[in-house]
Amino acid sequence: MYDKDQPIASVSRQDWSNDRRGARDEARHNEKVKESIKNNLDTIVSDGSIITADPNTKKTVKVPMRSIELPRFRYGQGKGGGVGTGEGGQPQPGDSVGDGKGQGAGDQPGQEYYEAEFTIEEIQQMVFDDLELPYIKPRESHQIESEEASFDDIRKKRSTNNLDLGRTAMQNMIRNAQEYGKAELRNISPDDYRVRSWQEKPKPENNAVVIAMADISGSMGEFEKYITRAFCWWTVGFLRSKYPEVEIVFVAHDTEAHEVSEEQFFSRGTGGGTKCSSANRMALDIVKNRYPPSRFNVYPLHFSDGDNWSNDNEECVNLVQGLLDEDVNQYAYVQIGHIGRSQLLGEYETNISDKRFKGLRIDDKSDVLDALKKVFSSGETEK
Amino acid sequence: MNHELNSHVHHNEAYHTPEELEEAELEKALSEIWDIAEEFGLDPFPTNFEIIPPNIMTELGSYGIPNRFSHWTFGREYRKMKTMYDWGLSKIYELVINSNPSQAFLLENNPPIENKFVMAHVLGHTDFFKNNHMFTPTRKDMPEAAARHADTLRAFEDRYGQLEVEEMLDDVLSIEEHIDPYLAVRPQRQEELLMWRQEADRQRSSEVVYEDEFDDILGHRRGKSKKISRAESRIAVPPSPDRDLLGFIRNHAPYLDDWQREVIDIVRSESIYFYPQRRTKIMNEGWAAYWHKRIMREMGDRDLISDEDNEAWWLVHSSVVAPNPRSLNPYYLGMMIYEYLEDFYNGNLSESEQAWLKKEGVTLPPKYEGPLKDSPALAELREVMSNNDDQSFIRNYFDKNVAERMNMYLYEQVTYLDGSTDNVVVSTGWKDIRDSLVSSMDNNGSPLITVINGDYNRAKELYLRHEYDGQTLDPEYIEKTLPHLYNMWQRPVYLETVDSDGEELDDDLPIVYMYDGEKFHIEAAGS
Repeated sequence: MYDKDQPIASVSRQDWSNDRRGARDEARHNEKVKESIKNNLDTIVSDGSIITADPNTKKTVKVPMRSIELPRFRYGQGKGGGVGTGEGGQPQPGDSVGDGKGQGAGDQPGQEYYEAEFTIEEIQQMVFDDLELPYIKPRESHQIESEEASFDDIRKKRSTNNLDLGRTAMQNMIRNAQEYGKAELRNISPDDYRVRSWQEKPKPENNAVVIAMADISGSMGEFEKYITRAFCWWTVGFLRSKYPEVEIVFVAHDTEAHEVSEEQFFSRGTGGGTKCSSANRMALDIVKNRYPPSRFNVYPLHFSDGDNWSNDNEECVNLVQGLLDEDVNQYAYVQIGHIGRSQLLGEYETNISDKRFKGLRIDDKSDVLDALKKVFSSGETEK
Repeated sequence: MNHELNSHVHHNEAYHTPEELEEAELEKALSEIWDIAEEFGLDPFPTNFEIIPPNIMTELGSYGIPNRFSHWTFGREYRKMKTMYDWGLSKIYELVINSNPSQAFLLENNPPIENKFVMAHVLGHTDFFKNNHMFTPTRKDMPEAAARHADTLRAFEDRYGQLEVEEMLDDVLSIEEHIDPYLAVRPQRQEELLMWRQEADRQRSSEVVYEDEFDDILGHRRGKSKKISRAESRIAVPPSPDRDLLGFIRNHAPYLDDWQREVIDIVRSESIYFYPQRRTKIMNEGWAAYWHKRIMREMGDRDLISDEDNEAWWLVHSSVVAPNPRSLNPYYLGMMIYEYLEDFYNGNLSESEQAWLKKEGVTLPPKYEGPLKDSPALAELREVMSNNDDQSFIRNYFDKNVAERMNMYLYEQVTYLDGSTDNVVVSTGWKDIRDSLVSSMDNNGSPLITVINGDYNRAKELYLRHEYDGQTLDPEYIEKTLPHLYNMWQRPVYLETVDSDGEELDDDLPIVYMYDGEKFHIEAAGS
């Protein structure tokens, strides 16, 4: 018989409010999921929802992720099937028992997917971690410590032109609380004034420039334009985040080259034939006239499908060699397209032996990350 | 003395919190439920119930034991269960730990009647834990042991680094089910080698007497220079295929640190503890369902619960034992077999059921019409409960009558020409169903892997074999799991299995996967 005085069973409660074990291990799992995203970066980098996003956006993107699992020896997926039980009556051979996954004999639990949410910034950080400007070196004005002013010192008094209203109100309330025991906004006196003042802040300057050149000729198809866009989107984001003072010059060309704005660069229509030399010539002009390598680290970067006027190739080689002779830090040529290595890349590779020339191909969306890493890897590790 | 003091305090308290009132109500119901259970012959461990919030229930459900060690795989489970709960897809009603006394948990936001129902259910489990033979060897102090394990691993984290311990756990947990459940305590390395040596010697006793018992295994010892040929002195490690991968690696991996061996011990002892639960899912859940139904019915008959509550628990019961068209609900299957056996032993089968059994040559017990608690079936059911595991339970007691009571069938997935799929019944034959169930329970449904040689190529390489039973391994998972074994063994690891490509059994070729720390090699076995 159940004996209340010597209970062999009981009901009780405890305080679990300090228990964080599940939450902590859940956080560790999430961390591992995010780590694993690095292994999927190649598909994420060329994902349309990302590269059309405003790089400064706070919005998040959902990335489908395989949840992390601990592997173990398990049976291969046999034929789906198993044992079921009828809910009302006996099903007969040939009867359908409904589509959907069974969990019967021999079945394995399916791979779980779930969507991990990342901010654009988080994804960028993962991509940018591995990127850097190669062969960067001190130029004439080595690390100029330019004096840059910023509005970040809030001082008492001074002129009311730069009055910081929020801080002033706060100060007034603090004073009222101290004097009358009530934190309210009234009787603002000059004693409460808080103004923003200038402060000079030394800021390192890398003085570098990237000259981004894109082929917009008629032969550039959707895929080629998409890749150019993806690559440039990451390049611009990377430079702005890691080298905020780097300047970027945008050049679009068909048979003629034009310097364009960033928006124009990303939205320009296409047409016409192709003379890659036009862009290279413009780059050489820009380098000579505005960004002499004696004072700037210079990185020309050219995208094309390589479908160039064949009698223009030699001119291109000469111009690229000319740029290298001007002592640009690196010249990168990215050739996009499914067609085999066309002449321009071949010509470059045959005739330019300078290790600061990087020629590479992107045949598939998943190559973009790899190409980014090749273009923006430290010079030393390059062959 | 104590009792007086308590009642004194009790009388002076003018106000009770709702929590206290709820606890008092459940305590009262628990004593009634306990008495009824005892009248039915149940013999549970002492069982302490604790009322907890849902997030703690989810947490306990994902770890399996309170205060268990920390690992991201539990965090993953926790997240999954929490999501299911939040979306109203599933909730854990009850959790009970196999220990003495047993520890069980109730959800604080459950209506009292549901918690009463859960208490009746739990007593079925704690009766099972105490009386099913599979559980006899399991340690009954696991909650304390698990907490100690957690402390040990935390101390290792402080000493060797969180990541280091996590990675070791990743390796060990990836083969956690590869244990020998009947070898709870494995001898230490030296002891084990001595045993093997003596066994080998005994078998060859008529031939040679050895001077150095440890020759090859322990390396060459100084001062012993008797000439014994290597072939004669060598013993195989292990002497016969060893399914205790964890134990073998713990003892014989050449480069593990002591703390890493202790991590293996911890995981291994918890895995052995959980093994009987994996092996008796149908029997254990079925037993609990069979008993909660009878105990709660009795509660109603004795007017200990209201009519409204009677309906409420019946609704929960119906959802717990609901049939599923494409999978087997263990509560349902287990309960239905026990109920069938009750009817059989009490002579209450239908005429057609009796006719079929007679045709099979089964002698039928006489009809019994008294109350269940005095019936002959109870003792028989307790025998069945204590002496079987799921596989023998199905093999021995599942028959045509059960299959028909449950409208059971085998189905297969079919793919149509347009690419759509469907699941179609292929058989309703009870033997087909039984054989499919029984074979799916081999080794708890996971592949059996044994250690064949711990000194393969005489280079301390590890040679494993998948004991092929007609089902091939998933090659992707072989390639993901072998590196974990390599991490522990630190020498090349081999796994012999059968090629997955062959559709026909004749095409199945033994192949060997090898991982050398950098890459995989796959070759035909024996080459």
